[in-house]
Amino acid sequence: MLKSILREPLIHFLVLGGLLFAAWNWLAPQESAGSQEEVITLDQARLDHLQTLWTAQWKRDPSPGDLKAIIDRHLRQEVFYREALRMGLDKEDDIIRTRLAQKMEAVSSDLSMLMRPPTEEQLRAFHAARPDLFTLPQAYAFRQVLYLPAEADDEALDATLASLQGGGEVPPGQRGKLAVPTDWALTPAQALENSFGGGFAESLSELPVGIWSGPVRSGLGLHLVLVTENQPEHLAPFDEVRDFVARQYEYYTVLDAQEQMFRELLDRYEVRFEAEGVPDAVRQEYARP
Amino acid sequence: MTRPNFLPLIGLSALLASTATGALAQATEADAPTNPLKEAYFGEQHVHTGVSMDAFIGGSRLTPDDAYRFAKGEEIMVNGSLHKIKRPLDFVAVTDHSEFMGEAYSLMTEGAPGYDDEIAVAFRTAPDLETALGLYGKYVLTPLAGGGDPHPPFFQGEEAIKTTWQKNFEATEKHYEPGTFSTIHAYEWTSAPGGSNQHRNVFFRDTNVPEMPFSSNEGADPEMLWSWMQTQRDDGKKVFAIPHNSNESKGLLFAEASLTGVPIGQEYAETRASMEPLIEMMQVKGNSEVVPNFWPNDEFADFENAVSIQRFNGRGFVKENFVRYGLGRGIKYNADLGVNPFKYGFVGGTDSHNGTPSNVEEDNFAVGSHGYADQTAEIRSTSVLEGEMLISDVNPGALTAVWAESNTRGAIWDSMLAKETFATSGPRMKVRVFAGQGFAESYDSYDAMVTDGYAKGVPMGGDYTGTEAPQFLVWAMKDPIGPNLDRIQIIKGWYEDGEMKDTIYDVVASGDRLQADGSVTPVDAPINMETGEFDAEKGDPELMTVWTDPDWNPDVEAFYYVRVLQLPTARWTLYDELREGVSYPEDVKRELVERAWASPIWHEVN
Repeated sequence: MLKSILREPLIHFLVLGGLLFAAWNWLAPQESAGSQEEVITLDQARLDHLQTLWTAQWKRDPSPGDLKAIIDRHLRQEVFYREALRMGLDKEDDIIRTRLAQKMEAVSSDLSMLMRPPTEEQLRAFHAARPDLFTLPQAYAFRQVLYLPAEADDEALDATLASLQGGGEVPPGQRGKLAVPTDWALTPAQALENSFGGGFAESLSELPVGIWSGPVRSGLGLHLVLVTENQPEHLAPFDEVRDFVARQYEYYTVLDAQEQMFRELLDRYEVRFEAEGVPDAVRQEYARP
Repeated sequence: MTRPNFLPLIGLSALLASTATGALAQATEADAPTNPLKEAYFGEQHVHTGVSMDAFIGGSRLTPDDAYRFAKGEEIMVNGSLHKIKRPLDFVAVTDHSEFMGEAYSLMTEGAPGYDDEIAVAFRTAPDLETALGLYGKYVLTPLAGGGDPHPPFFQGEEAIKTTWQKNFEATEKHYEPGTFSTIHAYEWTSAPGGSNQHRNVFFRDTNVPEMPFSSNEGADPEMLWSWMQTQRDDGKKVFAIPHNSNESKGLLFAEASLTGVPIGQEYAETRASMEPLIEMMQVKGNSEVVPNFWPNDEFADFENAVSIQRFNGRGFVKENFVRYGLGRGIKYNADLGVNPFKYGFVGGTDSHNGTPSNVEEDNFAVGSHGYADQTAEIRSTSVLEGEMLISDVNPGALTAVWAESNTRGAIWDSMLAKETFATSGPRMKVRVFAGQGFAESYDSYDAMVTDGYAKGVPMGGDYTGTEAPQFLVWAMKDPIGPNLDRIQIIKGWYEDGEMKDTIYDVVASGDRLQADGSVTPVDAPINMETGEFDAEKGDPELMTVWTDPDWNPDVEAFYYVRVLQLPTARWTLYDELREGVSYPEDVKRELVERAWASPIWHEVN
């Protein structure tokens, strides 16, 4: 009978399990000590956090049933989590490695989010540090009269120019030509180039302010132009673009934070490539200075 | 007083536009400036963000919020590079797939149920194209083609779908600036039974949208979508749908029978006509107008046909795939049933899966349109868009323009419903068409021409009801930063003696090249193959004419649509070669003739 019992697979399993458990206790006694007394605390802060997460995800407050599920799930997760750690299941598992690495990346994003809302000083400093983002481009305000290439003979242009310079009106046939307005409020050069083409915006820089002049070539034809304002490129005053600065600050802080944290953490390590086939560019990128 | 699209506010850089945001954020639709003569507003009606699971797997992490910012001209991190379009858009609809919205919630919301599922993690961490493609095939293509579970195991159910839809809604609301930048609540219903593309984008007029979008998981037959849309309409919601990629429909988009095999009857035709005012003419995955083998007499038919589509999924080209056929089939149905189910106006889109609306500029196609698949020139020069086509056959996509009285969601939606729209293959040329009687040969001003057009005719998308041969008042202007125009054509299709026929008239050409016999001397304006520059001298910046159909028969049903051709420009492949040092196979095109297609005007016999 003993023999037949010894042949039972279930018994093998139990015995093996028992041996493993004993070995584990022997190998890692410091961790198992006191495990009976280990406490799982669900304090108010933790519960609030869980509830907030839930609400953010489902866009409503949890019902009492939901609350029970939230707490159940938390306790189950905590118990399994602690046991998994105790058994070392976190070691050399690709999913867990990936998740932890992601969490770390997320932390670097979170760090930047935690800074929100940024202080006035931070925004002003960012505004000053990134003139590339906050420089108002060269802009012009002007009136224009368009002649299509086919109708743009010198005589007609000269005559119209003289008339305009003498205070004459824009000829009726040339108003709103090609649906392009005659009057243009202050507009950045790039936007003008997109609307006129052919180097028009750059040509405006050479025109006098306050006098009808031209013709100036564009992608559409030839223009007589009265530049009424020529506003050079300049850094937009902080107070006028504060909201935009805040938006850009948020965007670039998130972008920068991850890269910066990676670089800082990387400095704590020396990277050695022992594998073959690693491109030189990669070797150099991770080489210590 | 005209308030043209050129007005500085519209063309402003992102920076200036955003400085104006403070004031404009308060603006309502009622406060937006209006112009009774209408403006052409340029926009995107078909773009996916990371919320679309196929886009997510392919590497896209941008959100609808990012997409709207990109559309406004801001520089955004796209697939690892900062990128922006040259000109901000006037309007955008983000059209993420309803099929995967629940999955998007688990994939993109850290800590959400399902976030740590093994497959979700694999989606998120796919390090390269190959891995992404394996996942894409298994979890997107197969379910869409009707095989296997529509949801991966980490799907959390209906609440997750609602949450994502709500988040998309909020982003769409957040970025709406009436008068300056319009956003439209929309999504894509994605059904591909047997690999035949039946996809539709669904558009809502206002904030009255359903709690949850209808997906092909609930109904893979367009009739089921329309039935759901009807329920929404009965509930007071305003909604229409736009099909796309008829070129991938295996002849089923302009169908002889419903998907269930019932021959198309009056009720089907009426429903479809009511639900679908527009069709997407062109996008990243090719132009659906015509192909040369079925239209050998169209000398401009060889345009972004994406012929390698035919290598995948059995999506061979048949004549029944193409829009020009569909318009003809529509008038034949009209003659037989008294209803035209395919009375389609035209829009263009990208179907970009990068979260980058209308990234359509050939010389700015740096980050591609499909994540890892076409991320860099090196990849583009050799790669395949899995299950679809060669990347060298991809194009940056097309653009929609609407003639609307104001840049507001409602006005743009109304103009789309009325089909007063045109599509372009990317550039921002403008086209106006009116059909009527008594137009002048020329006008003192643009405003006078447009006023007369509306007074004496119907605009694009309308019905000509006169008893005389219709006169077409046609006007087009070039894209200011593009080359001049070559010519304007009118494509007429009609139904006579039991046959569908079509023909092309050149109605006006630049430089007086239109001969008395109706032919046009080709314009010799090659691009510079060393720099990609176009010829800036030839062609005309503006073309205008009044054309009368010389072959009009009052008893024959017909459609007429205008096609505007510009001078040749460099294709994105040439820019890749010149800038990135890659090389494409010899048979890949390096230049193209960009164009605009105006929605048809129909003559119906009463």
